[in-house]
Amino acid sequence: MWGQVYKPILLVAMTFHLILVTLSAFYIPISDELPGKRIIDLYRRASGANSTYGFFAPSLGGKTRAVVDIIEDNGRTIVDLPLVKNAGREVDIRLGSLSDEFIRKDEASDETRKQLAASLAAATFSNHPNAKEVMLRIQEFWPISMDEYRRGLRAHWQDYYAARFARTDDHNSIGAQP
Amino acid sequence: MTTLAVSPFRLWTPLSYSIHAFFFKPAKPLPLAALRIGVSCILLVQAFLIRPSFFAFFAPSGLVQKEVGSVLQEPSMLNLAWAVEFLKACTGLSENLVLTGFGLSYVLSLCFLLGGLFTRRSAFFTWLLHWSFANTGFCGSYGADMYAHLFLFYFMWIPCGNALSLDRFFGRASGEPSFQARLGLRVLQLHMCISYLASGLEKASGTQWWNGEVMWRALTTPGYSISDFHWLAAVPVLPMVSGIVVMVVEIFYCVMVWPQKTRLLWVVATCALHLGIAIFLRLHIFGLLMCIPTIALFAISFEPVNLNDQRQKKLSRYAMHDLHAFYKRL
Repeated sequence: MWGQVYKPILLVAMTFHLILVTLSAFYIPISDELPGKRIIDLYRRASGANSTYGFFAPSLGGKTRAVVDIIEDNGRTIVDLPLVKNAGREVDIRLGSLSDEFIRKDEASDETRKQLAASLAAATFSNHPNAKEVMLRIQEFWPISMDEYRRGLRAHWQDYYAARFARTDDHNSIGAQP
Repeated sequence: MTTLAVSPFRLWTPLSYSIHAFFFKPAKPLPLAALRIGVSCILLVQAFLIRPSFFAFFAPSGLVQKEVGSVLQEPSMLNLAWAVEFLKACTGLSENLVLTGFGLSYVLSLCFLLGGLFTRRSAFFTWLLHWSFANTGFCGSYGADMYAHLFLFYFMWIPCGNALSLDRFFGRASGEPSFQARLGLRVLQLHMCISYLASGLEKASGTQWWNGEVMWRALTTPGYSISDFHWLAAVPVLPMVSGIVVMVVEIFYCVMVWPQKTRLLWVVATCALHLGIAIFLRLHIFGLLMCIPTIALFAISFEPVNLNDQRQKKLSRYAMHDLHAFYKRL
């Protein structure tokens, strides 16, 4: 009896859910004028129905990484340190997403970059109490084509963004130097 | 004059029967349980791997400080920052201790989900904490987290605790075939088909997948590559064929995974594709996680063994035999 009543409702709910999944999967936007759009959006996020599935598609772009150079109080310089020591692959993927934030081109990108760089520098200072200066570098790697490789070209990491931070003694805070 | 018009009701009856059989015929919950166990295991391994950098990603004073995190993340989304603040104010505990509590709760709820103890409730808490962590600090979610999120959402609704579970052991759940199990299974199967089709078509829309460049680039980009694959430039046909095979497997997944004759081939091909990703691109969690749904949803039998059906077939066979003998006698 229970089933006879709820089966049509479940079928409708399932169809609705799979329609939302399909719309997101094929990048079909839902009109803002649709009644209940906000609730639908919330449901899509909660259920994962807002996901897209284009992994490595349609093409593979560049890869980014964040490295830091440190100048210690005694003048010793350590270069090309990773943000997180002994990061495994799972952590490394997430750090890659973090450094990808620097190459996003949106309206607030400049301000966001500065804030994010300062935040990463602050974390580096707290991990290295002897550090006097921290230089954060976001590097980008653009793979070359097979044809370019055969012609002798080689790809390498290139600095995309750099910011230097120094520990200020007066307030024990960090200040960015232009 | 003879009317050839067919009543829509006469068409609807077989259609509704097919829909009913496809979505609501009772099915065993075993594939759903297998999916639950597989996903829980992978998420526990993932939690273990992230453990050393837990505070770096999620603490308000971690790599991405609270103020910056609120810029990067959607502010309206559920996150743990407010809960950490609230508990810190109420209990006087440090931020890191409160976060550790949330992290342990996530692992504990995953253990409950794995064992199938209070399955629906543990699925709800796992989903809630997983989603909250994804919106807290900066966790750099990627494909594995996305799929984990949607599987955890499904686990709240489908009877994934009705088999291979402590709930079943303690008699709190029935392991009997149910229409809920088949409906859950069908939604998940259709979701997987949509995701593979979308993924395959998007790949096919770019030239890099047709000429093998994407394979070459992925295998020679530092971070992904396990070994030096630059020799592939001398045999470009190899990455080209691999790219096309990947597209074929993904695009035709939604067709070939259903018929009995091609199902096993497609399950093996899909698993091989994901194991390849796990090994050659070092995306271990993602690769292994993606093998689980295809195996659980398409390779494990969910049809209940119906003795009546078998008896019916036997009887009809005897009946046909008798009928044949009767006509012969005539």
